[in-house]
Amino acid sequence: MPTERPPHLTPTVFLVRSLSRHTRCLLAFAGISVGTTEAWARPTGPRAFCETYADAPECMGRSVTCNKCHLSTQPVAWNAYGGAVFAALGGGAFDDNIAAALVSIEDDDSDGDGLSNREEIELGTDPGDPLSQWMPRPTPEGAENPSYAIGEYDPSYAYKRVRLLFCGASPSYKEARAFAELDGEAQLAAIHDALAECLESDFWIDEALTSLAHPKIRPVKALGAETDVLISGYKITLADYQWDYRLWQYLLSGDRDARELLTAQYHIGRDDAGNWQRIDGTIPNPPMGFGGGQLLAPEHRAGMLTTQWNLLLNIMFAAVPRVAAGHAYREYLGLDLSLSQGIRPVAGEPLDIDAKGVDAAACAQCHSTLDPLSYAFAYYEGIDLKNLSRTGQYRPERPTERIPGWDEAQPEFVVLDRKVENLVELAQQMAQSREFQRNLADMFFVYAVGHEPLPDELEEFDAVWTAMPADGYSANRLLHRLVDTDAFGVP
Amino acid sequence: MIMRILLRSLLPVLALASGCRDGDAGGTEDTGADEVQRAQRGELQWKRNAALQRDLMRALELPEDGVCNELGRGSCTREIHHIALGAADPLRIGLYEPLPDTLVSTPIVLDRVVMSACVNRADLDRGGAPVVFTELDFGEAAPAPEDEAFAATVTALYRRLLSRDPEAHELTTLGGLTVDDAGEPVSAHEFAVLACFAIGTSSEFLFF
Repeated sequence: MPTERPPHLTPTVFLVRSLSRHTRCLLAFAGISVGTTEAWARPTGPRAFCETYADAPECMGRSVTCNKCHLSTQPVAWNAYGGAVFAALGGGAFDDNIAAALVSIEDDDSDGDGLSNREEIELGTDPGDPLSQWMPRPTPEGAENPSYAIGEYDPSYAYKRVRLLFCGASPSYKEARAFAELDGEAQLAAIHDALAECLESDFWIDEALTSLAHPKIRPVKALGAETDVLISGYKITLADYQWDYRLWQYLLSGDRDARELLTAQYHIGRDDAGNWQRIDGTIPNPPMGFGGGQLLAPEHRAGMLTTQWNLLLNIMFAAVPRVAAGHAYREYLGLDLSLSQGIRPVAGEPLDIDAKGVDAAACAQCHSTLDPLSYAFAYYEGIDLKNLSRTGQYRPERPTERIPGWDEAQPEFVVLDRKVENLVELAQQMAQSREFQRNLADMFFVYAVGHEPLPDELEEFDAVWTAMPADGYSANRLLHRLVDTDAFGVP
Repeated sequence: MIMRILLRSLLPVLALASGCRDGDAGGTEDTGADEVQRAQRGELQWKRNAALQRDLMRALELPEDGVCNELGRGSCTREIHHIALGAADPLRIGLYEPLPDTLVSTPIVLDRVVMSACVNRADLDRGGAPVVFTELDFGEAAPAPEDEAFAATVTALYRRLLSRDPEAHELTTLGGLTVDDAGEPVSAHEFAVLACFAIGTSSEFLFF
């Protein structure tokens, strides 16, 4: 260990580089921060990682989190891989040197689990966590299973799953017999015929699809159209989330373009026979209710993001609607900022435009991404107790009214590293993103298979969702691809 | 009486739970020597509340409210025990997604729902034109295992609940449900309920 610090190294870097590799690992595992004032977690790190390893499973339509390198970001502490990256940076400027630093330690095995960092990155496990491993599935052993085709795509198994998941009931004895009598190719065709039929069923559209929408819509009966709360004869309905459910059901069925979940400027009604009815223009609130219509002018609409219900529930009284932005980012891109997912800091942010203290170091890591998303929502009214009819309306003067300093600050609206002019453009960027495609496919994968894609399923999963543009962004076609995967059909 | 027989019905349930069907009357023994291939992925899903209700409705030809109604207060699968059966409940309790795991009460609820459906079907068949238990004489004792009525009843249940025919060893196993602990024949109604319950709570019916 050298005893004198070279002048080009800061004290922190000198100390870290002087330690043996194993000692650095021990420090990192113990959660010990060896940093001083320079030892910050870098919010640009996840983006840099995925720029270096764009084809890594964790970077396909998503991004790594701070946990890739850190045990903690506040106070900062590294895992074994993060410690190695820190040392490899050699005190150089982070953004300028991170790519080279990552490459320089690819052949190392930072966590000592037997796989190199590069191998773990390609596999999708954590190079800084020895417990993050993937064991290949065992080769089937024993006598041939008379009931299932173990280790290969089993059409009968897949057929039953299709019927249960998408039609809501198993095939009958007669149907199962008829299926069994088909040859291999005909069985595969029958699976898709059954799926096509199921995707038009009441079960799929009115039960299963509706269930998948709950976390996105988050209905509250007391505030919705079904409320039994009355004030002076007025129902307390503040908004009707059934508009949200119908738009969701409509766009995820019938081979429609799922991107319109974020770009639709119309709403969907349904007649007594169950037929969809597209409604353009504004929709007044029903009589004797405070809300329940769709008063927002169509040109300011962005699908599910600007329904009266979504704006009511997620903006409420907020001047800077961070909850609305975070909710959209999480539910439609699969990036949960509270879990450090999708960190893409914007230079100069957060401005802390409403003096909430979000520019503190511990907050800025996420708010440098969240706040530039949130500003575009500030023009939309959540709840104004003096003007309840404003709920869900676009008011260009709202930011200036609610946020002192808005005009001087002139904040920029940014999503996924792209600057946009308004919420409609922001939603369009989201709808075009790989994150949107992957998130939608992930929702259906978890529904159909029962878990998130595992390392040996990622290749076929990625093939499913990256086909969405060629498939016209149809959820139905995505599901047809999904039931062909080994993840779905191999017992 | 019926509870004792019910306990004994666990035997065929365990046999069915192996999910392995072979042609031998003795079933599959876990000796390791002739063990069949196990699922490589082992990722079966369980029928949640809607699928369970729909499958019982289809198999036993019961109306929606004929599967299981808890003390007349509401549907077991839709309103009372739906959380334990893997459903969400966004409007009443703000549960937007199903719980990630089964609850302690889930197996009990599954038993409760299937038992209710089986009892309801047996009662309907006993009181009117039979639909499922067409070969049973509800005024008599259960048929002996070698009787045609026994095989026909079990076969009908297998076809309705599992969409396949029973195998020889499964018929043998279910034959134990025709008599009580003392070896005396149970009633045809008791046999109908027990056979239906044993097959309807098998792993093969509950998982896919």
